[in-house]
Amino acid sequence: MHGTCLSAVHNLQAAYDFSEIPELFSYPVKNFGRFPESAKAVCGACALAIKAAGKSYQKGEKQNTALLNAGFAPTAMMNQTFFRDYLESGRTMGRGNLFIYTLPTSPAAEASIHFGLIGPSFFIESDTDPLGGLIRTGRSLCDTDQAENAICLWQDLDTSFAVLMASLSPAKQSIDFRPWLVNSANWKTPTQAKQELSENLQSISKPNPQL
Amino acid sequence: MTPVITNADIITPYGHGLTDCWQGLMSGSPTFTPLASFSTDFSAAKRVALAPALDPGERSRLLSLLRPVLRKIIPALPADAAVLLATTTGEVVRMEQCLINHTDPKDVADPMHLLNWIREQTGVTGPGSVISAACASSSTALARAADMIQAEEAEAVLVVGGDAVSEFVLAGFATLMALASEGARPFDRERDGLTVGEAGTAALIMHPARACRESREIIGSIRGWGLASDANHMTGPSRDGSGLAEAVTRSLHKAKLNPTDIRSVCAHGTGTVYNDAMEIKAFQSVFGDQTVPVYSVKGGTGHTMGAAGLLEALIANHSLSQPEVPPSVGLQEPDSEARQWVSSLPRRTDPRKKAVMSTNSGFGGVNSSVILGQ
Repeated sequence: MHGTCLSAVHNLQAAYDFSEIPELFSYPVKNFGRFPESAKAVCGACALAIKAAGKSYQKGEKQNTALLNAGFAPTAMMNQTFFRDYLESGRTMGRGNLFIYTLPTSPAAEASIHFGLIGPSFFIESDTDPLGGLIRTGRSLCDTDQAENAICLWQDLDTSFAVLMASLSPAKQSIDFRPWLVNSANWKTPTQAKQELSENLQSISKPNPQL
Repeated sequence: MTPVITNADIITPYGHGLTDCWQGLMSGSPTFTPLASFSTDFSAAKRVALAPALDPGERSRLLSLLRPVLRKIIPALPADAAVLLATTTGEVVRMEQCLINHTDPKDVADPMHLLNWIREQTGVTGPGSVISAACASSSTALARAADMIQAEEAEAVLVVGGDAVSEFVLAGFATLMALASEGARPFDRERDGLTVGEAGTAALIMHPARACRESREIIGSIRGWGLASDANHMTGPSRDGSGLAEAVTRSLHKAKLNPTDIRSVCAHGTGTVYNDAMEIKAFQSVFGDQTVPVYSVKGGTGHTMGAAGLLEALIANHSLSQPEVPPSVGLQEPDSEARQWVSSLPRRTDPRKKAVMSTNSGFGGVNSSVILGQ
């Protein structure tokens, strides 16, 4: 699994541009080609969640949307990638572009920057109910007016799963959330990646399951 | 309903306990020393802030920071307490050792192992989570604990914050040219970076009704909290301070207070050019012409990463019972923008004001503000 993900990262970093799927992102994600796989998957999942919720965003606009994430595996991989590279340099020099992604919040931070999300943003993972705890925290932030919406992201090494929740009614009695799964393990070629994302976009128009 | 703090303990480079740390800060003496445990050839910056007299027999330096503070708090811990662990790199030293020795690190540095260890040490059975928000990790955990108490999801929450000096972190910050050449000098006009430090912190946050029922001494109240993101840049804070200003505004709104109600601010104050400038801009936009004493502890303790938020909130809370606030340790000549805010000497504060603020910011543009009060 570890070796597969490293080679998948190299494939993705062969610089294909998701801005070629205009209906996914409202405008090109800056430096997307240089993101690690985890950050690309987060941005893709967030884009799908935002579209599925019927929302939109524009360059320069800020939204009071919280962004929460869980799943330590991508962080663990980036930690090892950074430190291995540093050791291979003879412990004389590390690489900043690897170090900045060693924090659990870094991939989500790239999404915050692109989508203009100024709400609370943090990694939170329960030891007994990781996904449930993540979603309950997102809901709590909406219920207490700390955010108008919350995107909750779960990440594994080859999967990024995003749920967007919003307080839709003035009484905050209905929370609508639509889960979208972005599976980056299959992204061996740009064509396959675009095909999978396009299929996800097409299915947005169909009725969505409620968790 | 205002969540309360009933117990707290810290270990910092000044020693074990809040008193040692407070006295060290008030003395204005930094704790920076040359690093000897591994080579720092990767950087011109050679100084760190290390906690003294740690047990070398622990599996990681972080455990040697956390065990003594937990030991202090355990007698007061209710078994049903929830637990929130805040850290940025956790026991990354264990991963370091595996890679240096060419063994598979697997998930050895997964913070869940640390959370499990905390459960084993404390016996708490309530919900547990790891929280990470870069250098605002433990202030975010404090805010989350307050949320849980206020929403009555829990009556007691143990917040644990900690990070230790490691080659991983030093090498990382060196790549970003973020380390001070001689030692961090927050808000100084000649500041040139941060100094990595370490700390272990723990605090028990409780529902006031339960604290009263159990006749617990209350050492502080969490009156307000606010979290916001810059949405600007991965490593550089928003130049206009708008993200931090938003967090501060949210915390004031939560506390139902005005800026004029704040006695003092324990700022994030890392000693980097951009962070400190951003903070002053944020404070200017919120406090306007009001002169609020602002200070940073990082010129004394170093930047304690995941522990910084809780450590600095506890320092700010302690200042409520004192006639003065600490100097910004390391400050010699303030930056022109910071001149009216910071001082190299302790300053008297207005005891009529019953609330203090502690702010933190971090990579990815995270910002937090916590208001403690009497």
